[in-house]
Amino acid sequence: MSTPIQPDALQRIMRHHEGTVDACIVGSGAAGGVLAKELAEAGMGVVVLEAGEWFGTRRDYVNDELSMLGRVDWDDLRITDGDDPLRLGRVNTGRAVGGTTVHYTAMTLRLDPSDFRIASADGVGVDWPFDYDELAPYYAEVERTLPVSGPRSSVWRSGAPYPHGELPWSAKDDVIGVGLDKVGYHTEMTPHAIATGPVDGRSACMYYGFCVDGCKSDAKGSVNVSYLPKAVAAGAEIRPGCFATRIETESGRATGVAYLYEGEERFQPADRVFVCGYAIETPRLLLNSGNLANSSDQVGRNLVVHSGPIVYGRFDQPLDSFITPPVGVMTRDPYGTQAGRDFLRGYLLNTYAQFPINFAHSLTSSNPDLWGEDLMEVLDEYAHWGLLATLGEVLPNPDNRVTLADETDGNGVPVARVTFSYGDNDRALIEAMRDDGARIMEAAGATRLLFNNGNHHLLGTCRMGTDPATSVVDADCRSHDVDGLWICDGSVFPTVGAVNPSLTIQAIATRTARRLLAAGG
Amino acid sequence: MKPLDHIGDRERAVIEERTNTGSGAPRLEHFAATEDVLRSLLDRLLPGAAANIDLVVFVDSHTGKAMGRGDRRAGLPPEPELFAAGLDALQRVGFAEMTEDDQRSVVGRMRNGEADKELGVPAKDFVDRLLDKALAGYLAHPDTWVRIGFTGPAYPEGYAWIGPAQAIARREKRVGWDKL
Repeated sequence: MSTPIQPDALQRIMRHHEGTVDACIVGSGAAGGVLAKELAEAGMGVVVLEAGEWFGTRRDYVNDELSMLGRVDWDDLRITDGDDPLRLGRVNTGRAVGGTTVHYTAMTLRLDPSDFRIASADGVGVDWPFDYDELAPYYAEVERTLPVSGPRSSVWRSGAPYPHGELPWSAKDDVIGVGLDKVGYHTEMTPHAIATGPVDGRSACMYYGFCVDGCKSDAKGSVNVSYLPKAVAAGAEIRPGCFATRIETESGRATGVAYLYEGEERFQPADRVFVCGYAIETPRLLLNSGNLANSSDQVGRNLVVHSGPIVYGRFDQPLDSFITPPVGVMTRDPYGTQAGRDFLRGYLLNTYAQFPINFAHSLTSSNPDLWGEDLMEVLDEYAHWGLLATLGEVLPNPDNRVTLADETDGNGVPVARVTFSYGDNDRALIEAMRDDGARIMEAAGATRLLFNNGNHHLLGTCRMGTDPATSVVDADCRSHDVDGLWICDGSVFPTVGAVNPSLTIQAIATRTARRLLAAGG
Repeated sequence: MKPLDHIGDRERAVIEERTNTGSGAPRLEHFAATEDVLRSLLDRLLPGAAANIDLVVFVDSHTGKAMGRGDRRAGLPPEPELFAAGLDALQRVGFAEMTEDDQRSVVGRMRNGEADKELGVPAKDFVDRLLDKALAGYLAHPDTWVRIGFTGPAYPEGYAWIGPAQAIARREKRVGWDKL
């Protein structure tokens, strides 16, 4: 009998923990969900505190863009500055049981071996404290659990052959694929955490197209359907609507998490605390806990995004790119540092789709002259626009950081101030991606091009390293400073490669759980 | 779009609510005093948006709602104040009474960051955020979906015809190819 996955059924079987627990996890997203399953299945008493709601995928998600805008997103106030202030909320931070994986596109890629050693190889950034081979078995395990669908074989380092067959090509892939082909790029369907056959009571992909507004078929492996049901079956307790306000310590050891539930202050005592709030809320919580775990002064620093201008092309034929999962085929041929380019590191490209409001917002925010008649004309041809997304590596800079603003939220807790500016290498890489994308779309037959200045993901703000003077956690995600405290989410990435981070976050979380269990807790 | 009886209850409820314009004009909560300015500005930003889609009411009632954007640039006021300041500034320069060409000229300057000084407000941020709000209202309406070729919700059946030839065949209404 397979485990239920909807919250009403899970809440009927869920255990409720009293008193001190073995593990309190803050955040139920990519990392928190994995840790909850791994630790609960190993016999630990686990409580997960999640600020967001626990949505029923059929009951609560609506296949409508406006209805879902903000519902599954962390759209609480953040103050932004720097040369390139970031857009925050729907684009990169979730707030729900399942975290950002509720709205993610489920593009599921491994880092490349070169991504772990960019200081040694290219003289920029820092090296990771372990290499690809160390993470490879955990990548494979997560790919099996989600499960991931993808090609039977790949010319690039990947998890192929994947547990499920790849998603089908759609019109946008055929049309833009011609352009990719003409410029000489090898193209494969992107591996996705989207099932193409039934699994554990979840359906295969039903082509609703509304992946980023919550998957109603449960084919997408958001952690609320892939990992957390297993965690609950093994005895973990998920507490939605719980906003962590402070991590408490005593004599250098974490003792638990103070949180708010329906306006009331509560405290969850725990032998172990895991902070998994993603790269803005995690440092915010540590800073608001009396500048905790920060002898290195690196908490909040080294905020890195992926650059990602989208190249839009108008085609005479309709593409209807919105009726399938938004990410289609991809190429990793431009990946990593390559001779003959005026920048270090590299990027990937993939076909993409955006729903009408997101499409319009992305275009108008980056094109000041796009309004009025011209905008109405672009929108009227919405179904004729194809998108080529780019994903570029950005280099860490300690001045890109999360600090505490003067402003406070509705509970009086100081909000995050997010400061970000691109560097010279970043800008050269972004320009190259735009040029490459334009070349491809023209080769595909686009009659008009537009661009946006996109960025994706949030990483790096509690970096992993071997030296406590320059890093926040060790290779096993343990805080250098505080016993019984782990930080395990996208914050720990020392560098970011040019792939979506979720698979790496989940592999690191799996490894973190196994390492702590092997060490006797 | 799929027929209404082929889609899920929640999706159908959303479509019915948006296409039911109701009777009587709802009161504006924030911008009653500058309603004509707001209306003129929206007419320049999204000219020809269908008359039954009331973007003035939409923008007013959604002012201050984050709607997936949690960031605010340092130094800017919260959205209700930003919108009020922008609309008041446009009222002071007589925006609603200008010719359409003059209005377009002002909007163009605002969008390019060239009107902050002349209006004495963060005009680019104001018009950009207001345009975002208006676009959400315009593009959430089922009549707009039909106009722009967006096929709307497919839950629970799903979409079947996803290839390039099928997108064309569907528009040509070839027999048997009229399914989504």
